[in-house]
Amino acid sequence: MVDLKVSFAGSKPPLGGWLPAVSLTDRQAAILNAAADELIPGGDGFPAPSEVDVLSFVTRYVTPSGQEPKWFPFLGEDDFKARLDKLGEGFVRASSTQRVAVLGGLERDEPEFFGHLRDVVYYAYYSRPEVVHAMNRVLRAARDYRTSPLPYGYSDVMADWDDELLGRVRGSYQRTADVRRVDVPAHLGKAGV
Amino acid sequence: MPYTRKPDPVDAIVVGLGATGGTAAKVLSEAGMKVVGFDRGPWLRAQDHYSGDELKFINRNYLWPDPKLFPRTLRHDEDSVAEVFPFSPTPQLVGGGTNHWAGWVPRPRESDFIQRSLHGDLDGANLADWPIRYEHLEPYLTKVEWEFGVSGIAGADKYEPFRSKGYPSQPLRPTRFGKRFYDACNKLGINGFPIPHAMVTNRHKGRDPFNTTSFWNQYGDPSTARSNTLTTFIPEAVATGNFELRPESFVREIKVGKDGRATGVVYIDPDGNEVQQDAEVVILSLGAIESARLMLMSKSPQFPDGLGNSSGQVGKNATFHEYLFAVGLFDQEIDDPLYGWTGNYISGGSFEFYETDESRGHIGGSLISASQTCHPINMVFPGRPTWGEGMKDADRNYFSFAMKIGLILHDMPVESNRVDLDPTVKDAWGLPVARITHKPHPNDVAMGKWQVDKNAEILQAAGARKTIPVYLQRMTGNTCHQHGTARMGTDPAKTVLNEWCQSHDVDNLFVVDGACFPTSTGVNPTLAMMANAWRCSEYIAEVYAKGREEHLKVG
Repeated sequence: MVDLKVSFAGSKPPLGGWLPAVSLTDRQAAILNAAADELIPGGDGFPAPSEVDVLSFVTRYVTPSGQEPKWFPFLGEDDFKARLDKLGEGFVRASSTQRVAVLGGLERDEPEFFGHLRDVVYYAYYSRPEVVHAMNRVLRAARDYRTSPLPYGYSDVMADWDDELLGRVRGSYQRTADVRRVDVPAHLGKAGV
Repeated sequence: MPYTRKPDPVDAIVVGLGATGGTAAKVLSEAGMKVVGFDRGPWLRAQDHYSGDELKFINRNYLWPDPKLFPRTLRHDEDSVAEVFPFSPTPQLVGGGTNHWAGWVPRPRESDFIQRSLHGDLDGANLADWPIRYEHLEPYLTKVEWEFGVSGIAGADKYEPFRSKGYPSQPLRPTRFGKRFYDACNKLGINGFPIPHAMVTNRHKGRDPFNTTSFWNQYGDPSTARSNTLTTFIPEAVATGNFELRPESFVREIKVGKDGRATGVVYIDPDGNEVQQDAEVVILSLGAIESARLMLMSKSPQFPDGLGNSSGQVGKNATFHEYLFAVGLFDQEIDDPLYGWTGNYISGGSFEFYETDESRGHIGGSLISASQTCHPINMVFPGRPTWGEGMKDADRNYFSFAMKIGLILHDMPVESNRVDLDPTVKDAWGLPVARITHKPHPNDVAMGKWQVDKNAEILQAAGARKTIPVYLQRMTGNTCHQHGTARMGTDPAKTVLNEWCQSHDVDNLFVVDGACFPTSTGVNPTLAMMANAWRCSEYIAEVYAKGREEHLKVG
């Protein structure tokens, strides 16, 4: 039976994620923060993810219970919470080396879930104003990076034309009838698909 | 079959309102024809819906088809089972691919129209000459450039074919990585030039000049600096009073009368009702994959193998422009930042390697161009660690110290590379999805390898400390460029359309998208597609609709 009621309506993800966001227990929040801190280590002038509230971003993008997690980051509430619970309190208390080992195991054994978690943490972290400011402050190449494009964009860091370069070139034209035939290289002439 | 509604008939129906459908809508409605246009996607408004949001546009399919609603399948040879795969997706909304494109609009070359004359039979391939020549398309290339406000500089590309007029807009300023490309080209004796862009750099037809943010390629443009049919041709068509746009309307069949001529289409409206719209002329512009699919789905007693398919060629000879590249990583201790998040996605290109050179061991060639590696959060390069200290170091070392030089693979047409109807996978409407079968021709592999290596050489000349080549393995659909599934030509036994993109079998059916391209060219095809759609639409309005017939002569 063909469902003729199908249309684009409802086929797009909610912009800005879901509100209200999925709520985590204190322990689940601590586990998520600990994982985020290993996925993107702070230091060298950069804050740790747990210091810039990656949680509020991630929980908006986890699909609420009862709906299919069909859009990036493809994480559903029930499964997401169950996986955090599985990492457990021990993950929070573990050393950084131990946590990295656990995450490495997760990456190896459950690459799909690990990839989704990693990607959403990445987005959460680099959307924080504190992180953009750190990039401006610490990285020479990012001192001009802005959180949003400005009316004049990045005109100030664009290059100028080298007039000499453009002045040297001249267009040409040959009629189609004058285009020369070229033989097919022998090895291709014998090749099959 | 009774339909929920049957609106009054019109002169022409345009199915798919992207680059070519938008062009057809403009030309036909401005010529005074009553036109209805369908798009299965929504009609978004740039100022309300578009921005530089990486998450929204890069990761969450805002412009792209939902794979659950619109799947496709792919197999790499005829003996394999096809699997659901997002092959060559294009944005599905009014404006189509021009909503997301970087807007590079170089012209095709004279040789693109005569590949078979130039090379004869290439074993395993199905090379063909076009039934038109560059000279036939040139006036329309100029029309699109001037309507769109294309930026460029005539003569900067020393291999550029004849042009009857310069560009209406000055070239985009070079990005920092573009400057590196030009410098390297100069060092190596290669002609580098600013690739023409569908972006206005001075005020054009009420539109403001380009903002150098770079959040354009893959994004919806909230300004109107980047030309797309959503903000140019579609509003112009609507303004004539002759064009009615029906978004979120999925055309599932082209109807045929007892005389074998198309009578109109059946579509599903946004409320889920089946509606029949009749017209004198039906024009397809859904892209080469979906146009072929719609023709194959439109079976009737007169056309049991699909509409306009008496030759059996609908869907065959499908070609795609797999995008290949070499990445260059620069040393932040030595080099200045490349500022990859500023300016346009690409900056600088070359046709130096476009024409056949026997010494390279393959025929044909491609346009090459310098580009960003990606935007900040989605920055990628092969082999980059994806988390932990390794990722942090890679990002901080290479953020703004990476660029790539890519190429548009000139895919050789092969008859068995094709689009047909998947026997098992259905879309959300219960209709068979497009199944793509594609195995690269040996020439594709050889061409890709040679050019990627050459691009790596240019990157080294630009000062890259390390280069990472990405060669062709299989066709992944890493491109929106689709061609060939309804070739135009003079022989009805071997081609689907004539030189006006008119079906040999059904005289009031036209296919004006890239499906008509007999060969794929090695250059971004959208400008040529739009010019060709303009040419054919002009023919429909000025000749065909007046009951006449004309044929081109090619020497």
